[in-house]
Order: sequence, then C-alpha cells, then structure tokens
Amino acid sequence: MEISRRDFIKLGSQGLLGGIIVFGSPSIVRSLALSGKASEPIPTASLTESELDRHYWGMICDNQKCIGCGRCVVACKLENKVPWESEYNRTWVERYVITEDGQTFVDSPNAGRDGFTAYPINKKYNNLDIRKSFFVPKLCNQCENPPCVKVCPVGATYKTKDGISLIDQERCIGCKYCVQACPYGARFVLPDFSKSQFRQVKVVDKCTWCYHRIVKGLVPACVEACPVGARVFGDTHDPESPVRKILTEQRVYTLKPELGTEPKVYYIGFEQGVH
Amino acid sequence: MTHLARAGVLLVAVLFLVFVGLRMLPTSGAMSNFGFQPQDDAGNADAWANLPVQYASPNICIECHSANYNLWANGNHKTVNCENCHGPAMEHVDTGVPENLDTSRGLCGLCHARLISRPNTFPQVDMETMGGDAECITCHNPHDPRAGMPPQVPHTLEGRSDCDTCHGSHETWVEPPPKPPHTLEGRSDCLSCHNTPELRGATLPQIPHSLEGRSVCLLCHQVGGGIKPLPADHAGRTSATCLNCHRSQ
Repeated sequence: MEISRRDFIKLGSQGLLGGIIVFGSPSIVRSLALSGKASEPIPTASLTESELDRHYWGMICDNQKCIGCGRCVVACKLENKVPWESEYNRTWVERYVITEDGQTFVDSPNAGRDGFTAYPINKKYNNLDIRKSFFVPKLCNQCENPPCVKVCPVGATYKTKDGISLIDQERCIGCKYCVQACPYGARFVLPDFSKSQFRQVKVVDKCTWCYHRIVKGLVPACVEACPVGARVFGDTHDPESPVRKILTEQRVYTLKPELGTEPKVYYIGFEQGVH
Repeated sequence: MTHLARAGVLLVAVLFLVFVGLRMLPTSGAMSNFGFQPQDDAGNADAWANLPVQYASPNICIECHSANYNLWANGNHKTVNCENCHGPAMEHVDTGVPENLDTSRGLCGLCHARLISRPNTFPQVDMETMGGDAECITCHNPHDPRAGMPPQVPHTLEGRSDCDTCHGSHETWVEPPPKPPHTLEGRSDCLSCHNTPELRGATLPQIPHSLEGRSVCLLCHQVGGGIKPLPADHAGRTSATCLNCHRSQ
C-alpha cells in the first residue's frame, strides 16, 4: 500500500493529538476538579490563628536514656498507619557501636521496630573489642529552615505557623526531590500497597510530630509510648513546658548543625560521630 | 521543500506544546516560588490535624480500670504506658473491642534482655536462663514488678562488706538501721536476695534439697501450711512455676 508523505504526517500528528487527548484528559479533568475543590473550606479545624502563633513545638531525644526497645517505632506505625514493613518509617532507632580502635558502626535492624534483642551483635564488629554502644532515636527534625520545603517543585510541602513541616499528599507528584534534600533521611515514598491515611500511593510521607495529637494538647505517639522518658515533647514558647526546662537547664545539641537547617529535635548525650 | 518545512514546523509546535507549553500553565504550587503561599496549606494542615487519635493515655484507662491503674501508678512500671503492652486504646474506648494484650516473654525482653547498648543502670536479665520458658508475668506482676520481691538495698555497697555491722541484732544504735524482719538462720549471704537489680536474677533463694522424686512442690510448701510454708505473697503460685526462680543446689 502506497502512502504519501503528506498523508503519513497527517495521520501521525492526528494520532499524536488523539493520544494526548485520550491519555491526558483524566489528569486535566482531575486538576480542574481539584482546583475547584481547593477553594472550598475543608470542614472542621481547631486551629485558630492565635493558637498557632502561641505554640512553637520542640522535642528532646535523650541518647543516654534510650534502651532501644523500639516501642516508639511501633507506636508511630499504629498511630499514623505507616506501612508495617520496615522500609517505611517516620521514626526509627539507630544503634551506635564504637570499638576500641575508634571505628563507629551504625545499624538499625528493621528500623528498631522489633527491638534489638534478636540482633545481639553485627557481623561487622563481631570480632572487635567494643568501647561503648548506645541507641539514638531518629525522626523528622522539623527544621527551622527546612531544605525539603525549599526544593519541592509543586509546593506540596510547607511549614505551618507552629513550625511543623507537612506534606500535601494530594499535590505531591512523587518526584522524590525532597527525599534527596533531607539531610536526616526522614522522608520516604509510600509504597503501592500503602495503608496511609489518605490512601495515597507513591507520594512522599514523613513524620508530622503527630500533628493531629499535638493540636489537641496530646504528645506525639512516640513520646507517649517511650517507657524511659528518652523522648520529651512540648512548646518551646511555654516557660513551664518540659522541653523548655531541659533546653534551659541542660546542654543539648542538634544533628548536622553545620548545614544551617536549625533542627528542632534536640539531643542529650553528645558523641563524636553521631549524625 | 515547503511541505517538509511545514511538517517540521508542525512537529516542533506539537513537541513544544506537549513538553513545554503544558508545564508553563501556572499552578498554585508554582506561585510559592515567587513568595506566594499556596492557598490551601491551611486546609491541608487541618486535614492532618483532624486525623483520628489511636494512642490514648493512661488517664483514659483509669476511668474503668482503676485497680490496675493504681497498682501500676505506684509501681516501678509507672513510666511504661499501658498501651505498650495492651495495644492502642482509642478503639477499645470508642467501640469496646477487646484490647490487644501481649504477655509474651519477647515483649518483656524488648526492654529487659541484656544488651551492651542499654544504659547499665537499666534493669536487664539474661533471657536464656531467666525463668525457663515461662511467661515473665507468671512471677512478676507486670503492673508492679517489684511486688513480692525482697526489698532492694537502698544505699551503695561500696566500702560496706559486712551487712551485720549495721543490720544485725545490736540494740545500741541511737537510730538503728532497719533490722531484718526474718530469722537469719541458714542465711549468710544477704546479697543473694537483697541486691541491686542487675545481680538479682541468678541469686534468688535456692532449694536446699534434691528434687529427685519430688515434682509437686505444693505437697510440702503451701502458704500458711505444709512442712515449710511459703511466704504470704506466694499465694496462688503453682508447682509449675517454682523452678523458674528457685533451683536445686
């Protein structure tokens, strides 16, 4: 069959346009529908302006108290419906092992979800003399200058007035740029089988400091669950809050201060090499 | 050549429209790059703020379970939230579904199995030898784990090697330290019972006789009866659990 160049190009461009319309229309329609919905006020809200202005949250993690039981990890997963699989964590516990010859090893089997009892020793330092070992709880630092917010190309992640970085998972396009930007590894991409609250898949998720709890005057689930008081939460604006007391009475440090992110998770028990 | 030029222009136009043009449409998110805060952040923050709470706090548990609450609130486990063992409480409170209680040895071991990484002031035991395979709660009341255990020494042992110097039968002390409430006969090593928590595990009172032909401890040892009575706080224990703490010498 003979086909002229003109007809071929005609046919090709028609096909191309047709394809764009067929495959592109759902997302165009959805974005139109969403843009209409965004202007509607979402019902409920206990957050008045004055209340948001009044609070500024902070958290203390005490490396000297943490026993590595992993109850914080479990509480976080149950409270926030984070996938149970150990690859997806809003908070996790790291075990540091420092050997006599000065090497530092870090591991976090199953993110600490199952505790550390089943993992008595790691092969890497099996034959080395251990000088000391301790646990470090990790979570989103809710930075004052969050790099994750700056890099988001669609503005899906933002900082609230009370200082919490949140993700609009309806708007997130899953480009993972923020996952790369976070120096603390706090962000991850929800899997296909996600049981996340918003039933979202392949969008980014991270710790919210249990925003739904703290606005109601509760503490985050990990703080609630910690049996040894290694995590302390409170309002840094409130002179009576436990966090403020620790900040004024004890020596604390933050992770990777040289990056200028100004984390709001403050650690007790500094050790060279913990990052 | 004009038809080719036309086709080329068309192709370039289509490619531009698809790969560049569509992305130039302003979105609310893109405006944040120019200092505009996207409109619906507050709405989204409200959505996060209105998620359901799963973990209540012990303050809720007391409303129905005051007996256990009071036991727990005065015991050494008072810093351990009920929900660490009983599971998140909110659903139980709202709908009355049974709580999801974990009584396994594994759960106790998450905190109390001996690990080099734990602070050395934290009570730890060897899970392999402690109590055989029995659940820890057979002997230890999880709400008050110190209940029924001999009192701990409340002071440092440094420089004090002879307990009898202070805690003996002397009557001359102006303010005597506490005297033992039990006979000292057959007990020469105070620290086998009254030690720091770290050493306690392996050193509970041992059985002074052979176990050959004796499988039912309660035949001779009962609370308030038998050949050698059990202490009152051993009420309700069965022969099956004696050997978890007490071994034959």
